[in-house]
Amino acid sequence: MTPLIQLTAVTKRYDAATALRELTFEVGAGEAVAVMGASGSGKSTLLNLVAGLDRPTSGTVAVDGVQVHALSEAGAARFRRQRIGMIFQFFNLLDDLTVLDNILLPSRLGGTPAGRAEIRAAELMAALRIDRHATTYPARLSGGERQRVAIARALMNRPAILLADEPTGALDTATGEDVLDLLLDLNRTGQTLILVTHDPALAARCAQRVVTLVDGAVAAPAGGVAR
Amino acid sequence: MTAILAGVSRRRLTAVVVALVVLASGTASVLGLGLLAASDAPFDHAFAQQSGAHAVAAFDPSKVPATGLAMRGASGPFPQATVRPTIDGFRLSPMTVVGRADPLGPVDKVSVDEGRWVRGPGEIVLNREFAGPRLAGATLTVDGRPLRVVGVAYSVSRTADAWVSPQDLPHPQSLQMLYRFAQAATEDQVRAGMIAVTRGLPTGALIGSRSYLSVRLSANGAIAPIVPFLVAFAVLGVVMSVLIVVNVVSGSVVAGYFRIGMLKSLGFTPGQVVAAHVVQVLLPAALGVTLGALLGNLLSVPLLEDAAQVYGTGALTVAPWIDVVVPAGLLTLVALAALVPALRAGRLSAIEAITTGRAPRAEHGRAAQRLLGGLRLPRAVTLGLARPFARPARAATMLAAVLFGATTITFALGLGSSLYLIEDALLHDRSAPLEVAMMRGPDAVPYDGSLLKTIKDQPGTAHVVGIDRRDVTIPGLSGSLPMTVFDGDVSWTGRQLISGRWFRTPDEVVVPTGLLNSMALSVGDSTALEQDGARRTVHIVGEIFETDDAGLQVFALDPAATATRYEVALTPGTDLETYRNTLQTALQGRPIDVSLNDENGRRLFSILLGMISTLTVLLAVVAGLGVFNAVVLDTRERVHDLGVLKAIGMEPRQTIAMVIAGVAGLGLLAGLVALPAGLALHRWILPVMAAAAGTGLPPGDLDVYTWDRLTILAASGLTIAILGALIPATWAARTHPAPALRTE
Repeated sequence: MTPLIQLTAVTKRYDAATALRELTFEVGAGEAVAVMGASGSGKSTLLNLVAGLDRPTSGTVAVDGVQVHALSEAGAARFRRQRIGMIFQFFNLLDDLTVLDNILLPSRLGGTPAGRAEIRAAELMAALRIDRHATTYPARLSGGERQRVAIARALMNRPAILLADEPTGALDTATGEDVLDLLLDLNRTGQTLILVTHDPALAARCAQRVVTLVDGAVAAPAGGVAR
Repeated sequence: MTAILAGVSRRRLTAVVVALVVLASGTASVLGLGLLAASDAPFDHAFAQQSGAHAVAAFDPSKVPATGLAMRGASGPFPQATVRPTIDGFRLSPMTVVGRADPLGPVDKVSVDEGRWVRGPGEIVLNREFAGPRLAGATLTVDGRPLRVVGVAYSVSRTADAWVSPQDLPHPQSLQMLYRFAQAATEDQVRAGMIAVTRGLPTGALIGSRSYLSVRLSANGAIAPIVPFLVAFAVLGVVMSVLIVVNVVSGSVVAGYFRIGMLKSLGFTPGQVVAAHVVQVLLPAALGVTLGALLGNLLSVPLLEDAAQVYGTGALTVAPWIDVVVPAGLLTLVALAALVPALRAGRLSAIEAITTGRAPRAEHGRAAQRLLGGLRLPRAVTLGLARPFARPARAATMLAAVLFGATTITFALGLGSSLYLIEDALLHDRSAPLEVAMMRGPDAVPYDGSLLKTIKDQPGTAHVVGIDRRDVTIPGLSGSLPMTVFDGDVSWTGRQLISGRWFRTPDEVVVPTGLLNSMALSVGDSTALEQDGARRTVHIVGEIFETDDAGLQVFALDPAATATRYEVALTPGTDLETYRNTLQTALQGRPIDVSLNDENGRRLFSILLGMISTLTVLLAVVAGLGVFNAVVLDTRERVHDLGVLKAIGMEPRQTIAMVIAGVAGLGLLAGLVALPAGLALHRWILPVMAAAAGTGLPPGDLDVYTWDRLTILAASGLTIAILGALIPATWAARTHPAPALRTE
């Protein structure tokens, strides 16, 4: 089976520091993979490269048949909008937009007709149990509710891949569990998921496979391809 | 000090923006105030500089020898003659030539602008006012003798049209003496001085004399109309400079609140924080103001050179006090603009400063976001349109900056267009580009109608009108005044009426505002005219736009007039130069001049247009910098949001659209408000300028804002805003999302 995500011999350097070294990494469609590692091990850099937010210094990044490393800025933006959903530790919602407007944003930027986008947003808000907050501003929501809004926004354009960077890092345990359940539910419906975390328990619970990075390289399992 | 320098280095862009804004403001202020200050009694300054002649006198050499005229404290006697030089076969206007070996002397120190002074026979130096482009380096022929033009000089006392070696005037028509008197403030004092210096001379030795006061009156008359628009520009420039500098500087300090908070948390005292931030903006401001003053002085050189020609004075320079006051004023302004927010920051706790410095409060602009988000516009655009509501104070100052810039453009375009029409009306060289003049004197052409027939028969002739000039007197008005008499329709010549209509019969006249005001007359009144001892009553049927002779003129119709010159209009498509040469050839051998209406007359218009354009561009740049700064501050504050938007798929062109939309609404609004403001300023300043010149204005000269122009001008605010935001918008589009997402 062709992997959905394929990083081949990827190196990423920032000035003198090397974030990733000759990393080769694959993720299959519908898979849930946890990427673990200490702070500075290259976890977030890996996510950024998959999302096209950053470019590798060398090596190739292919996602869903797209050579992401070769995309222009505009091409990378379109790629993210159409195929990637991103969830962040601190939610990254726009405080001056309502919940509904935050969720609608990716589809509105893509030019989806308003009516169709609103139907999809309503479905997502209902599924994530935040529909009563549609006209509320993020600052008035709890952390868990904000992360639900962020998940809804990430799913708005039905992305092939969901990238979650420490999605429970800013939440209390109970709320974190709740968010994790949501992500697991999504994975069960076929959603490919890459989860970055430094919490081994979380990784073990939600991922079918755990990849540990140490100093920008895969620590386990041994071998050329981290699967 | 380390923290201060680190702050400047860390916030390089802010420092550059502060320096640029202060530079542009300094340039605009030095230029505006420099031109304004130069218009304050430039004649008196130049007169004092050249030790101008209080009286220029001409003596008859047959009645008094040169040795009998020389006296201490005076210049002269110089041989003088009125000649009619020719160049390439064309006769020039008569010129007064003075034989003078040295441009200096106790009185009338003539300044040599170009080339050099005459060194011997066969050379001539032209007065700047007489020298045209065709004459530079040319050889003139006077009474069959060639005279090479070796220089261009200027005498503020206007003592000659040209100077030659005294050896070139062995038989002068008169001897010129230039006097300065201890008391010369009034005509009476100048007259008394002349009586004193001519006491004891034979009767009839003095042919005539001219007081400097008449020259001064004429020079000041040229300056007066220019001052109101310079005042308008200077005021606009200073107000805009203050506004933008305050906005930029205070904005830059507010943008540094996060750092202020960090410094406080490290133990900086409020006093140290205030000092650090004031000095941080003063350093780039000092650099900007130094360069601005320098640039202002450099830019003012050609403009002041031109102004000196308009004013009829010697070289003008930026007054030294401006080079002191503008930098000092701007630096004080910068310090004050930085001090207020820095003091506020000094009083904040470290946490408060960090929180305030992070981002604008999200509550601002939410309603606008919701409202605009519902519009059927691209989302990037609606996101941008709502931006000004998040920072209302910053948006208000940006709006004001663009408003002032767009008002300046609106006013400047109207002013330029009006001046163009005014020049047309006064010179009427466009409507009647050719003049055929007959020589007076013994070889004058008898008026037999053959000349008129030759002109009319010439292919390409559209209109011809014959003109005669007579001297008339009006009872109650001292002295005579010129009456221009036309032998036919005059409406096509380009002359304009302020009110009333053109004459239809010989007993109807039109007169300028100057005469109406002097005689307390109005259109519709009648007045008596005396010519050659005969008195007749004429009806004033119109007020003509004319400023020559201070408007003390009369224009009348006399179909039987003996024309001494003709004004000619050509049919469309006729080449002026070819027409002129053909007519010249047809009239060869006859003492008739076929001349183009003097193109040099347009010089005043070009000079004013140059001043208007330079000041307008500068002020528009200042306004654009205001926008630039606001957008830079805004995008820096929102860099994290920008990262988020990019992470969820905002493309670079959408980022640019969002940033541009953030200023476009304000720009459009400012442009729309600037239209009536600019129009009102134009309606106010133009009549003030005209009044200063002692005339009214033809209504048509004010109606210059056509719909197509208004449409373009309505977009001027939008244009300033877009141009100001374009560079930071491009920077925003290039922002890498990954580092932006990590930004606090």
